[in-house]
Amino acid sequence: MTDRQVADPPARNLPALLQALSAQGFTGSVRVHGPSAGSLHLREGLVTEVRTPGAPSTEARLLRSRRISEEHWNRVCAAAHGERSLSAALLGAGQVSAAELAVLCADTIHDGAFAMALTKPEGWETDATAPPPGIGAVPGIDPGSLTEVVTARLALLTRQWGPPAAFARTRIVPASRPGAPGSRVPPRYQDILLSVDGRRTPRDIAFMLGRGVYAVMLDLARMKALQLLQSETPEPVGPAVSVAPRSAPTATAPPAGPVPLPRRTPAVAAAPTGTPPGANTSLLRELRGLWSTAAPGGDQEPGPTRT
Amino acid sequence: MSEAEGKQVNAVEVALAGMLGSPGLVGVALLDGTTGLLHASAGQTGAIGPGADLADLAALVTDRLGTAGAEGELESFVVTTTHWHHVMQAVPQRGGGLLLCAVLDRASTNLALALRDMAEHARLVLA
Repeated sequence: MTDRQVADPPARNLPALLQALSAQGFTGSVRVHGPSAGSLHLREGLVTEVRTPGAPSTEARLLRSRRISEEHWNRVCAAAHGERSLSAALLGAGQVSAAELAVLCADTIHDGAFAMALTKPEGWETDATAPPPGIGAVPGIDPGSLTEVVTARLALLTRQWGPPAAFARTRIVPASRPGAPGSRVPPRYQDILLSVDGRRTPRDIAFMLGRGVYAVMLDLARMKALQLLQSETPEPVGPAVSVAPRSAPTATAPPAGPVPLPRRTPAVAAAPTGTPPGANTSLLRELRGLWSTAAPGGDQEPGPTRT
Repeated sequence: MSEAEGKQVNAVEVALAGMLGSPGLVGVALLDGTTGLLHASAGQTGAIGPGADLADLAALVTDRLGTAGAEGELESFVVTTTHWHHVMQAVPQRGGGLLLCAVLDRASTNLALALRDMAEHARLVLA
């Protein structure tokens, strides 16, 4: 443990640690190691940000959902380069309202915590000197409430689809004939159907649409019930397509013993179109004479025509 | 962000608190239309119900309307009980759906006016 870290309170799991830190009024970050790596930032015991590769960040959701263009985002980042926070610069630019940002931050925190809860963490460390997040929830989310929401989400998805961790890794396949005849697919499901290609997982779709991973998984479970998706992930059909050059099958069986290496043998050159320097001109004349006498016979193959 | 009596509250809570002056409105909440995550509430929140159940109900109505061949997007729906009107109003928002859910006292509510007010509240709640 470095001097930047504080003594972690004894905790048997991450929710217990967060509860203990909340009781202390901790301000700083908790870095989580393992498959569900990520970090949580707390201010005075409340969670203000969760960052994990498993779920889109607030910035990613703002950009991917087209709530803000990249051009405006670059301007906001430039404005925030000084003393202003990213949140203040974003609100100052007028692209997002304070209420909209509050909703988005709260949603991102719950979604990030859900994504991190899909696998068991291998360890964690606290850092009381970590800088505050650029865009964070105000005042923040109570860790106990966050744990309750995440637990309820895991239980709901387990009922509707199956184990959430396996669901998160599933490559979603659209149904061959989506929906019942005459039915209409709601726009939210249409966006997902346009993203589903048999290779993308729920996380990929969430990043693509700028939505939360849990929201996408919940919609996928509802879409499966509406028969908009295939109920099972299909097994790979046959071997991969060969791109090797094709050749006609030969009737003769290959030799049983070792095949000798090919040897170069002298071959008779085809009739040249011209007379290269150094060619045997007498032999060429003899061949042309034979060709001209054989052509009118009719039993011979027609020769190449010259112009 | 704003400060109220020394405690930080988020901007949505301030917006919802302002709606409580509407005639007959006893409780209001803003929640995620897909997940049911409760973002803020004001008034008698117990009468509104769990967010996940409300989101599930909204999804059920949307899905069944789609199955029946209805065009367009869901804007609002009302469930009326003996004493209450439960109004769920979609909030126009880029990149995701929110629901503004309200409980109104049936005896003191003109439903047509209440629906017009709810649509206006939904338009302004994130402004």
